[in-house]
Amino acid sequence: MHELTVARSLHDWALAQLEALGRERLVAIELERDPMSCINTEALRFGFEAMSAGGPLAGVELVVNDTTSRYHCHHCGHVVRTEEPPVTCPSCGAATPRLAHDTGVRVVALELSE
Amino acid sequence: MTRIALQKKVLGSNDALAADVRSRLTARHIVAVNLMGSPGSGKTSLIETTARLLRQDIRAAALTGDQATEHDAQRIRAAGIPAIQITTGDECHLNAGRVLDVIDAPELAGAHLLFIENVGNLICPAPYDLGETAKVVVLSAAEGDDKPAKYPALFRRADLLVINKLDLVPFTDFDVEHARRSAMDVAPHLEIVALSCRTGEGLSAWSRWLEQRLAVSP
Repeated sequence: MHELTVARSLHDWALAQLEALGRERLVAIELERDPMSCINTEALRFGFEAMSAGGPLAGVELVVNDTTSRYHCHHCGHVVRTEEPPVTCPSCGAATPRLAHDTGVRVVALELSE
Repeated sequence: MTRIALQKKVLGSNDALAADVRSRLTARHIVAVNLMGSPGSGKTSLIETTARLLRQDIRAAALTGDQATEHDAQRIRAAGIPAIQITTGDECHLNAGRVLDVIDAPELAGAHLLFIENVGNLICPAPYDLGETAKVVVLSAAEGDDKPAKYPALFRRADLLVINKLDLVPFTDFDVEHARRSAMDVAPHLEIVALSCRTGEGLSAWSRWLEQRLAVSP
């Protein structure tokens, strides 16, 4: 499934960050997962673990926190976080809120050893 | 332990490629429609049927994604629309990179309308921006009228829902109104057209929707 693609993208990016920061050891990657991301957490962990085995990211923990979806009003630009899609925008009342374009899995923090 | 806070979308590289696709399409005034839906929902049939409906001054082209075979591209070419098959192998969706690879192909030269037929799948194509102008979900009467509620991520990202194969409704338990309500419950913004590629019912609404998209193209 596509979690492997996502895991590869995350792995390569994290490796580049480690090098850019000049650090040897990454302990954890903290992620926020939108429920509409279509990413299964366990499949993502499995893919990341498989890709990291034997490399500089072996043993890095993925901390995945689920969040609520963001909806963006195409009329006024208001963004609302909610589980269910709003019928109208809570700010301007227009019937234009849409699931935010960048909905997905987001890295929110890296934990590095000293 | 050091904690570095940041905000980085994991599929950010796909979004950058999608932005590249979008700018190339915009520069060439091409309206691109990303057709998504289950295998067998009628995405290819809809493109074939649209070939017969389009005004003579509108030139269309198509990209079709499947794990294997050239079948869909062959069918679409036979209907008179230049088509490129993208075989994805182990990938369950198209991504922006695969579209970017072929965006300058001669088959697309002079096109006003580009259909991007995604891999048949109601889940995985959802989070991938392909640089398209609009996303369309095709749902057929043979699939069941509760699919929007069961697979909301795709429907919430779509601009239009096409309820297809109306000609099969009398032979199934599919309730068109229930399907509409199910879709509106998960995605209140959705436009909906119901049609049959076999009988022609509802096709004028689909044509109008496409022509409106072409009319507002920059």
